[in-house]
Amino acid sequence: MMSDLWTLIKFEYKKIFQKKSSWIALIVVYLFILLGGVLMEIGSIEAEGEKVSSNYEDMMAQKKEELNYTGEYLDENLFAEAQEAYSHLSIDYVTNAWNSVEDWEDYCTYVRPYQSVAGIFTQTGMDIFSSDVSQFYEYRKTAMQNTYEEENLSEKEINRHFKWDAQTQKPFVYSYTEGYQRFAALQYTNIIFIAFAVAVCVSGIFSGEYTSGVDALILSAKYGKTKEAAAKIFTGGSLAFLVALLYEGSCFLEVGLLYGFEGADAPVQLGTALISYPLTMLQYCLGLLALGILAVCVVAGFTMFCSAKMKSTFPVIILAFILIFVPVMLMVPEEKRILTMLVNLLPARMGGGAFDDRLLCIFGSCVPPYVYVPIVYLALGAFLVWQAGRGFRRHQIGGR
Amino acid sequence: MELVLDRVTKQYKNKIAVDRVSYVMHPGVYGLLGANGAGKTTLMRMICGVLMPDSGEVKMNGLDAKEEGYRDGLGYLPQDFGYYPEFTAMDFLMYMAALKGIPKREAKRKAAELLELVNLSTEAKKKMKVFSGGMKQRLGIAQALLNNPLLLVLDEPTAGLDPKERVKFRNMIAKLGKDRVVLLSTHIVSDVEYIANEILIMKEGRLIHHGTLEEVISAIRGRVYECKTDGETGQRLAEKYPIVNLREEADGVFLRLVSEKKPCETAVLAEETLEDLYLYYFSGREEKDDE
Repeated sequence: MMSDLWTLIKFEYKKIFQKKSSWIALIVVYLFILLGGVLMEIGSIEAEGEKVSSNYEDMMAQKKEELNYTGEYLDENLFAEAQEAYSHLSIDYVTNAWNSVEDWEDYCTYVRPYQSVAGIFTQTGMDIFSSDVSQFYEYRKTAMQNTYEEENLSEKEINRHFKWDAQTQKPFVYSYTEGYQRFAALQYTNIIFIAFAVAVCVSGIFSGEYTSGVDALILSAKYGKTKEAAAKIFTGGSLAFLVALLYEGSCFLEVGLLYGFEGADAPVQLGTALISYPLTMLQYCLGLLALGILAVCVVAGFTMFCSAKMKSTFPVIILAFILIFVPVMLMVPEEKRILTMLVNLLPARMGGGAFDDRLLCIFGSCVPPYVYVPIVYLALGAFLVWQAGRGFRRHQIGGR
Repeated sequence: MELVLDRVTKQYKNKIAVDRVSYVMHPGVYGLLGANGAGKTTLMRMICGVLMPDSGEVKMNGLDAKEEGYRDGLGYLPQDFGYYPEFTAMDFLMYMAALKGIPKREAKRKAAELLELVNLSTEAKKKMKVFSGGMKQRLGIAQALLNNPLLLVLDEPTAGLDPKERVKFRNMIAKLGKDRVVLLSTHIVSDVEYIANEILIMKEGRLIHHGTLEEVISAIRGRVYECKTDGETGQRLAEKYPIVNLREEADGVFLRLVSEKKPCETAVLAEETLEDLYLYYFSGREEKDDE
């Protein structure tokens, strides 16, 4: 009966939250995520060794200035304004430690209002100080073409990308989108640490029973091999989902409250100029959030799979650590597309891999990663938890 | 109610842990005796469905040990069972009750009743990490009885219990054996001697002897001797025969031993006990005696 299952699930949650390691992992990672959301605005800006502004004040001032031209076209006129503004800087970069107060004041007066515009401009490889501002969209197209060729995309894929790109209005309409951009940037690390916290929590869900010696009692009970296995899997999966949702949701809310929720309908190209996908900023961020949650659930599935197969919890945590952290350091050459696509499937790469250019072309269609990755994750997750349950049911007490 | 073991076998690499054991059990108390490594725990694990036999079958009322219906009628207390340190005694029983499919209200009532039976009512809300070994063992016995099992398998159930608790436990088991199969393994011969309807002797994976107490100890009828002798003779006898009891006294050495024939001049026949039989089979000296 369902009430039996819910009772068993309740006890599984109790076992997880009675472990100190679970609390430590969850609290530390939550604090890390909250800190990550505000880190950029902690600290101050100095000129000639004296504080001239806090990072937060600078950000708020920039936001106020940029909101002034929300709704304007990102065309040669606006780029020209930005180029003219940057010409007032005596140095060719923006810094937090200005050598002179005069440079800092020039930055505030002329450059700061156009910093985001300049950022979009320079993503194409153009120089804000000297490039022909009327050529932005042509240069962007060329940059995209070059990138696709370096990535070994087929002609079909390239055509598909440009078809998608054509769906986004040009010139782009500017909007202040800092909140969404910050959230997207944070996904590179958030997913990794949330996944690790969840892995610590669920690592002992099966193996802990083996090491504690309760396995004989569980597996000899009526529901030990049926509902209990299902309860454990549901607990692990639901915990992963809820933790990821809470943590990602907290980050989204925190960043939104700090930077604002403006720009939800703005094209994602305002943050990533060379991307072709016809998505808004909100859609992009929600996609990252959903894929991040799925990635964490897959890590939970993998951890439970290892937990069911291994005799103790420690090697389970090690394997989860390897799955989560090693891919961060993997450097795959751009031209190795199959390898890159496989590596991009790994949870740690979801921050960047979800909207990668490489498409999966099957049955005459080319599908972007943010469409096929959830399908792969769901299938993989289902397989892993099925195997985990099977491994637990077949566990032999005293078997050698 | 019938438990059938049909040529149950388990092998680990080069060692046969359980060797084609066949037996049928009906309601009553069965004592499984054997030395360490005889295969008792392995056999019990297969009976409880937590270890798959390499061949053979275990069935209770026609249900195979793999089936959920079989486990529904099973209560198991393993040797060295685990627990959750942060669970209270009541938490533990409620969890085990949920695993056994007992509805919540009934589980609460049954848990309270069993805690009373094993003298742990006052500890119901205490965490298991503060429990002594004996308290944990009593709680283990309680969880095995939650679902009123038709088959109760107890592996070394009195380990950690003091003599008073052991007696109480023996009396409880004797009552339980009336309408269910109770299989208990122990090294404490007296646990089995007083309450078992049938005794199974296991050695090197095989059931070498089984029957009532009277039947099994008849194997050594007329072979148990007691004698008092000097130290040197005592030493020689100790090396040659299975010794049940050896006691240094002021005027010599007192020995109780098992032998095919009178071992020395001063030896007199004694009434055989189950402990004599156990040592006869498991002291490792019966071959020397046979020689």
